[in-house]
Amino acid sequence: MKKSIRSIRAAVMVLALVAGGLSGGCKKENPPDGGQMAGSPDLENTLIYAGENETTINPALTYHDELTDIIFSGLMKYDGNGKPVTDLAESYEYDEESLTYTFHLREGVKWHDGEGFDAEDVVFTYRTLTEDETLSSSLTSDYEDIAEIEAPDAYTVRIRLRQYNAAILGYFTIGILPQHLLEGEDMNTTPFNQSPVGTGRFQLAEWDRTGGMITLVRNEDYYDKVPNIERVIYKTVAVESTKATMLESGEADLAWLNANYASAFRGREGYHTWDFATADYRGASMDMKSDFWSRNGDSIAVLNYALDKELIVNSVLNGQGETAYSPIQKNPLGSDPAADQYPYDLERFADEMERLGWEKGDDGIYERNGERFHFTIQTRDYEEERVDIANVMSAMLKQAGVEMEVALVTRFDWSAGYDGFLYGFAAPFDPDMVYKQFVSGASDNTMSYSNEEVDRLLAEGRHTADEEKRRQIYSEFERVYAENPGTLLVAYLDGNYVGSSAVDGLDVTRTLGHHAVGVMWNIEEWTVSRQR
Amino acid sequence: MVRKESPIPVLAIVILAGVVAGCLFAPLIANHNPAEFYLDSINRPPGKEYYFGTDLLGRDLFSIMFYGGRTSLGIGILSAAVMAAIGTVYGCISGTADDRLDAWMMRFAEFCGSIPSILLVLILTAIIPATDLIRMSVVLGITGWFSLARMVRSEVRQIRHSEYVLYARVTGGGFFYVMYRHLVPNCLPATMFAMISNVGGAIAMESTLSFLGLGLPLDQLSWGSMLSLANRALVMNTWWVIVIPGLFLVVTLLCITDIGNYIRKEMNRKCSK
Repeated sequence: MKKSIRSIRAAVMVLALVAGGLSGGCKKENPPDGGQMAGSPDLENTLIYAGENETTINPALTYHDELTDIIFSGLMKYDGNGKPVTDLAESYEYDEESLTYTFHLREGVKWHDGEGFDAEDVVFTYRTLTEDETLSSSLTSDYEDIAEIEAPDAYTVRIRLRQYNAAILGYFTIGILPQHLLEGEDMNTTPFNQSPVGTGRFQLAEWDRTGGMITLVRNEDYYDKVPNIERVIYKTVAVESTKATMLESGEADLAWLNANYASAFRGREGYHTWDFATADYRGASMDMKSDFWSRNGDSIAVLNYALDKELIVNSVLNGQGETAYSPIQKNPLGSDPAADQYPYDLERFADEMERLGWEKGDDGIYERNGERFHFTIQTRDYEEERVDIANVMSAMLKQAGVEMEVALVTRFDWSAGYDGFLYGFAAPFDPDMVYKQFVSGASDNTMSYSNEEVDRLLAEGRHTADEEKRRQIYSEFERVYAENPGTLLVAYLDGNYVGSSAVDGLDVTRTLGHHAVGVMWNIEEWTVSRQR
Repeated sequence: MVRKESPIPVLAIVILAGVVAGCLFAPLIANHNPAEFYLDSINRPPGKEYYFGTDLLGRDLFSIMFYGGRTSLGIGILSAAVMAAIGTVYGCISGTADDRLDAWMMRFAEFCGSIPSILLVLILTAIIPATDLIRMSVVLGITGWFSLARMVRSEVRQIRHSEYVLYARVTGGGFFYVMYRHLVPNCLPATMFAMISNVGGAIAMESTLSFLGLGLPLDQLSWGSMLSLANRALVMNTWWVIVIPGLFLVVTLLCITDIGNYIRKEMNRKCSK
């Protein structure tokens, strides 16, 4: 079935190519300097960005997403150092006694459709996140400590917690949703998700879904600095090599490229490369519900010995990254070197496998209780870097006597019975960002990871105020997780953005998230100057 | 008048034989493991250690070309065989049928033949995913027999009222007996050239599909699946990843076409003698 979707898609693609070729012929009359958008008078001040695929733009449903960040805005926002600062809230107070945050909102803020923004929108958003039983979002675990939300007047919001939560101020950065458009709608399926209305720096002008093009115009009524760039054209291109080709041909001004492609543009005239640090890692995440891992979950950690992660970083990532040993390694409160306990050591691997009761079969693959060490992970075929990582991992494991089969899919299929997938995640701000991912039954724990000690530590870390104590708790979490991992961690990536020299203003102080998201944190400062 | 004998395409035969031998004896020729990633030498240009260079995961192109050629040539020959089987039977039925059925069958073949074959293949791969050599050959075979059927049919049409065919039928020879004993041997010379060209066509089509990412997965080495790396190589400026598989493909196809042409000329000459 997957294949058939793929073929049909390709058939459409071929037709589109033919159509594109025809229309290309008509465009030739236009002067070449405007690229494919020639004829639009205001391309002068337009940024064409080649980004990830988009299906839903709604902060309550999607994170790791650039567009929700610029269309919506929250009570708070993260500054360049990753610290939460006020945004829609002008100021806030926290009362330790009653565990209550009181936010004083900006007055006169308007939604993109002209309606006024007030405290009821904030109450609506947080009630949706905490009380809406029908909401199916991976984010809800972030807000489970909220006991009560109320609006004493139109510009004041009080949020009372059940217990102290060290990370919640960061989670108050989530974009506020307009009550007047979403009241009574089913959040998961509402058409709003494709025609979002926010209070952010840019507003949606058009979403051409067949052409994969989202046009945004700047919000002239924005309550803070109005962006310099008038329009952002966001082209949804998932295929990494296509992004690179678009930069090459001038069809895109800016894109996140994998390390190898970025290196091809480095130092070339007409291009500029920005190297961000990210907290984004890659690894093979095992589905603990699968038959294979429910029987053999004790044998994930040992696989670390069989992976030459250094070599993967130096080859597939072209040296742009570092080896991974902890899911919060790039976090200010993480990175305990004691958690880095698995050197590349095939002898050690063989010893440990023997200890776990595995024996090599005639075909050189380990066996235990009559079962071969064979599992399958899925990875999306257009994410070339992930495919490469998976293939190299598979070859290294094979050499050690373990069969990791790589299944290429067009989209992740969670019911097809794969034993895991090539995973990526990032916790760039508070280390509590991994809570929803690793705590048993939490909202983003898609692979059903469960470990009592991890549950305890992550709950403790979330509810502890003292920074030094938190650091110790998270160090312990890193060590416990390293011993009982659900993900075979491989590497952290650098965030290499490549743009034409027309683009300026990107600020690399920010540590970026998953898929190098967050680059637009200061987009209001960016400029595009097309002078050739 | 006797036409001038066309020269035997020695060069094409020698080169093609070389390629085929290289593929058959790939384990002897290859100096690296074609499936291994030599991660400490990625993107190497052609040189002493890696004769044809390496791709961006350090795979040795020289070794892959011969191992991959096995798949590509295999698909070419197998697909051509499928086309020949379907095309010949269809053509013989059509050629010996009454005018009405014949017309219908030919219109059908012409209709299918008028659709760009890449579209037919794409639709068919939705039903039969072309993930291995056999499936790929079947898919290509099913979508490529139309012109051959027409050729066979016109040959059969000329001889279907010959005494020996009529005799065989009158004395109770079944359809397949007649086809095998009389029709096929008579139309083989005229269609031989088409069958050989089909080998080349199928190899080219496999490469096209793999280039589009719809053919064999990358772990099934073939010239086409190597070419699917071309768009990445374009970004990385590693020309050899594109040029070398392309060169193997083009040279092989040229040789096949040249030999096919020679056979066609020979047949024409013999017929017009």
